[in-house]
Amino acid sequence: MLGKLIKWDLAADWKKYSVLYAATLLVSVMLVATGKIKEHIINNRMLEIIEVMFGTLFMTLIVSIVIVVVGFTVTRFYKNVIRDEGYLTHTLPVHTWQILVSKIIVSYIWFVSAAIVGAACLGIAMGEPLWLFDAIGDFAEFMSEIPSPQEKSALILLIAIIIISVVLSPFFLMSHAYFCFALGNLSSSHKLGLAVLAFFGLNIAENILATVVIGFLDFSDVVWTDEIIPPVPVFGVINKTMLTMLILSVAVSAGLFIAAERIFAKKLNLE
Amino acid sequence: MLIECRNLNKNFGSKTALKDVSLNVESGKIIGLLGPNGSGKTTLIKILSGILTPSSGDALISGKPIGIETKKIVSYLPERTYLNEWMSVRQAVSFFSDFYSDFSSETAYDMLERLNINPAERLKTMSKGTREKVQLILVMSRKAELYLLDEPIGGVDPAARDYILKTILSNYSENASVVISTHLISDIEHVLDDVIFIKYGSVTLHSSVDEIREQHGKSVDALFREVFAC
Repeated sequence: MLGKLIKWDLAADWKKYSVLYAATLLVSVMLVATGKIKEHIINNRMLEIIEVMFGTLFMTLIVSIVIVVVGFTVTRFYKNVIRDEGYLTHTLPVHTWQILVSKIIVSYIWFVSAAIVGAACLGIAMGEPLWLFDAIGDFAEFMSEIPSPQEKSALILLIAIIIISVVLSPFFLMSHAYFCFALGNLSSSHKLGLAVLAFFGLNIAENILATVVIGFLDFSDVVWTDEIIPPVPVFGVINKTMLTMLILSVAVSAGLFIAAERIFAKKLNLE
Repeated sequence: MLIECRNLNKNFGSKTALKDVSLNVESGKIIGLLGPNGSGKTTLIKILSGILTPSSGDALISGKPIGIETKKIVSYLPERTYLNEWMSVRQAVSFFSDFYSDFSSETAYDMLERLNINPAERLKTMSKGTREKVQLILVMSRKAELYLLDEPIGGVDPAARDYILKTILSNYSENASVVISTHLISDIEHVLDDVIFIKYGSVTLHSSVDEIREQHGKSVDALFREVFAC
């Protein structure tokens, strides 16, 4: 049943995403094409205006692609689970966790596809389609040149934390959104307003919690030295703080996901 | 017993929608759930379909608490359009076929053809009435044990009402029960076996149509007008 839920969720939105991705790809190709034409026709004012126009449009699309994906996935959840379509979704013979997990998986598919399209478009616009692989190669070379094993391992840990945080960020976002919609569902009226309020309230509470937890961190094990630039202690403090934040985010998001599932399963209250 | 409700209560804030509802419904009957607007008909149907959770009390269908097992045997038609608007009718049929093992695509296409509904047409481009007909066709194309129909004839023209009632009568199996919520009593009275009157969230009468005619010497519609007179 999980596979069927994923299939129908993908079918619901693939056209919208295709249009978005196709538009971004088209604009990046047009930007490159305008640049190439400009190389042969010098001092053409119209071409310069067109290039600026495509450049602005391209930057807008690249920057907004993730925001649009977030908007699409959250809207889809709201329409399909909370609003009228929820009458069908919640009467399907499936478990509530399957509905939520299918939405998370589908949101991952759209986030990953947006990242791939975004990277490909950047490559096209820069005239270096394989820029990401080159960047990874350059980074590997940079790492091999770091003399201190202490500094190298600290940097690897930092990068690992950043990558894990980025990979888990859709889960963090969606579990928060699901929980807030679940809370809103409990109200007899103004469900959406309550969900939005809950989202802001939850973020404030989480920030306070993170500040308190970080305040209790012990940095006495970080060895301070002036020998290495950038100094290892800086990495030590950053890594410890970021790792703590990551663990906290995983714990809170998992808790919110379970709470959302329990509320939808036991306290469903559609309008 | 197909439906068992024991001391069912539902509150929305300070408002009581259902108050201590206890009732039993047997298999093989068509039951009219009758009451004025805001009496609790939709709330009761929503609880039985799993869309709402009762504040207290128990509801069982075929002896099972409301959940995934009851959703397999209950076919629910809400009072609103619940189909995904991006779908074509064919996709909606495929969707139901994917999720409900008791769904018959053949029956659905047959009914669509009889109502001249094009399976390739998108739900988004259809009128509200046509979308409601598609919904009813999908719901009645299941071989469910219980059909919960919330205002199935409320939004359609009188000519379509006859077809809808015919559809309901010809598509439910003898062992299944159909609960129809409506206030258009005269239109459905002739198909009902039992009626449940609901007023201010409480069941005030649960009787067979024949008993009402014998004991009160009136039609269900006439009794309804008397009981619920403003």
